[in-house]
This record gives sequence, structure tokens and C-alpha cells, in this order.
Amino acid sequence: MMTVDHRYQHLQVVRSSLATVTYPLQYLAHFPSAISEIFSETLATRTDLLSNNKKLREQALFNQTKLQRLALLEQENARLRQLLSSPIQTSNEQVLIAEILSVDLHPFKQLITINKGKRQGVFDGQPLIAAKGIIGQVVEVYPMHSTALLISDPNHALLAESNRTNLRALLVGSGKTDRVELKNVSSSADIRIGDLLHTSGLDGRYPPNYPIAEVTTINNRPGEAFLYVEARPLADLDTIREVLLLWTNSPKDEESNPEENNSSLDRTSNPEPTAKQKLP
Amino acid sequence: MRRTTQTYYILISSFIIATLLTIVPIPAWAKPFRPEWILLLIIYWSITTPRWIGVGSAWGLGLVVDVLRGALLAQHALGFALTAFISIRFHQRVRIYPLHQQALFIAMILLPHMSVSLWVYGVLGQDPKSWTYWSPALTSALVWPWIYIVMRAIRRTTDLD
Repeated sequence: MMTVDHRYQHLQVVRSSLATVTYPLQYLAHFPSAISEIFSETLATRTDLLSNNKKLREQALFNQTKLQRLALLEQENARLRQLLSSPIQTSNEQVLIAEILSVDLHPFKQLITINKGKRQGVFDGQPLIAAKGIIGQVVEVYPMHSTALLISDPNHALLAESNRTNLRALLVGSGKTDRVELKNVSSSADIRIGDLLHTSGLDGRYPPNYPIAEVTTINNRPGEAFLYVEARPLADLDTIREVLLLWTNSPKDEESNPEENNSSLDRTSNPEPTAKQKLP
Repeated sequence: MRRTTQTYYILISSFIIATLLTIVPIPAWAKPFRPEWILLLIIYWSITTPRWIGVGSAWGLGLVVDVLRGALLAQHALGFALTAFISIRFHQRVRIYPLHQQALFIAMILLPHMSVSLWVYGVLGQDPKSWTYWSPALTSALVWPWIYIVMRAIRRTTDLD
């Protein structure tokens, strides 16, 4: 039975129906923390609310000015790309807010349950982002809810790229929510503490250019071919409450593997991932 | 007939509470030490009322845990069925043990289940790489006396055999 489940899809029905049956239980377990949240919201004092409101308004203003600059930069970028005759990257992405149920599913895997499922169009392998960065991907989709794997899980890997040098390396979870590891970085690679890592888009799951983590330690062990690089995820993986489910414009292309990706992208006149290059 | 439905209600609600205890959020440091609540209840019911809970129902409950934990289907089911089998095999002997000896017995019969589970994780390349994997056996043994006392009280007031 385990082999069948591991290798084939036949038992998906069993799993899906059992999961749907247990979903009310998960919701019930989530209830106490939901209640306490509601209470803390309704019992907040007026001054608290006022100061919060003020802070949020300031932040909105700040973000809007940033957005203005971003629009300008986008135009400039498009113009420069035209000069270079490289394809323009359009960002046509849809998002949906999902709530994380506060349930602990597994003692040593980093799984979360979110309250959106197949009915809302969630698909297997869909990336999840939070306000600060990528947090994981959907691994099981059920009718009403789905389960997602965080980037800090030891079985999760994605191809990250350094902001500063465009160095690409495999980012693997460590089992702790505040730490991920970069694998197979050669000891001569140009990487520094504080480098920001973003998604490269080459793994076929995550869209490019979303921030993931910041390099915190680099350890060069003598006699080993690779550096030991640790990074801290930008999103607070253990305190987030809400996540964004991300739909990119071509989910078909995202799911296929990179080799096929290159050829299919030419046909659909989408930007080729490798065409992303540094501007002069 | 009424007795039967009442028994079913008690069994099902006890397992619902156990499932809630299995997934209710706890601090991160305590996560590896969470007792195997569902398995403890399976052991309790199969020791005291082997007529109602046996290998088959343990298997079914194991499937539920598999789905909750995102494990392979039948991974926990296999271990749960194994545990139920062992505890039914010894149920007449264990019933008359004093509580601390029962707790020891619990720690011992959790080991086959955990070994099977660890073996499957190992085959899948997901092994936990930490000794805390075995800690539920200890914590389950520690909470066993309380489970036993509470469940015995429930069983006596409802006159369930």
C-alpha cells in the first residue's frame, strides 16, 4: 500500500476523502488561537488603534512613494531592454490571500495547512509568498484546504540566486524555521554575509525575482570543496498568519522541467529565463 | 442496542479528542516531545475492551494520522495495527499490572511502531536525524497513568465493557 501511494496516483481518492473528513478537526484545533486573536482585536484600546492606524497610514504613504519610483524604474528598464533587444519581462501575476490554520501536523516536517483548496483553484506545487519573501509551496491539494511545505523543511529545495553577483545555488531547508542552507557553493565563489537571495525561476516552480533569504554565516572548512553557507529566511516562517497564493501567467510552463521550458518558452514568446541579464 | 450506540459515541468522541491533541499547536521546543495520543487511546481500548477496538480499527485510525501528517498512506497504519496486535495479545496480563509497570510496558510497545515508522522515513530519505525522534515513547509513558485514570473513570460511569 505504501509503495502504491509512493509511486502511483491510485490512492489519491482515499487520501483526499480522509483529508476532507479530518479538515473540521483541524479547524476545531485552530479555533482557540482564532478566538484569542478575535478577542485581542476587539478588546484593543482606542489609543492602540489610533497609533496603529497612524503607523499604517505612514507606511502606506511610504509604500506609495516607493511604488511611484518603481513604475519609473520599470519603464526605464523596459526602454533599456528594448535598446539591448532582449525580451521585456512582463509580470502578469494573480494572488489570493489564504489563512494559515494554527495546527501542528508533523513533529519534524515543516508543514502548514491553509484554508484554500481546489475549489479556489489552488494547484500542486503552487508557490506561497508572504509580505517579506517566499515561504514555501503547496504539496497536497484537497477540495477545501491544502497542505504546504515550508522552504525550511529538509526535503525542500529551490534554486536561489544572489542579488549582488547572480551566483546560483541550491537552497535547502535545515529543519529549523530560522535557517536555510546553500548547497554546493564552491569555495572560490563570490558570496558575502548579508547577500540577499532571490528565486531564480529556473527550478520550474517558483517565479523569478522573489526575495527568499539573507546570508548569515559563511564557513570555509579546510579540505572541503564547498563552502558551508547558512541564510535566514526573510519571512518569519513561524509567526506568519496569512500568505499569498501566487498564480503566474503560464502555470503550464512553470510546471514543466527547465529543459522543456526553454523550448516551450520560445514558442509562447515568453521571456527565456536565462535571458535575464545584468544591465550595463 | 442503546448500549451499542452509546459505546460508539464514547469511542468516537475519545478519538476525536485524541486527534485534536495530536494537532493542537504547541511551542516549537515541545513539538518533538508530543505524546502519541491516538496510539495511547488505541492501546487503552484494546487492553480494556478488545471487543471494540482491534487491529482493524487501529489500521483505520493510522490512515487518518497518515493523512494528517502528510506521510505515506499506511505508514502509521502499519505501526498502529502492530501496536494494537501486541497489546491485545498481552491485554489480560497488562490489565492487572500496577500503573508504573503499565507505563513501562507502554514505552516498550511504542518502540515497534516507531521503528517501523523510522524505517519508512529512512527508505524515503526523510529520516529525522535526531535522537528526539524517540522521545514520544518516553512522554507517552509519562502521560499513560493519567490517561488510564481518566478513561477508567469514564468507562465506569458509563458502564462500558
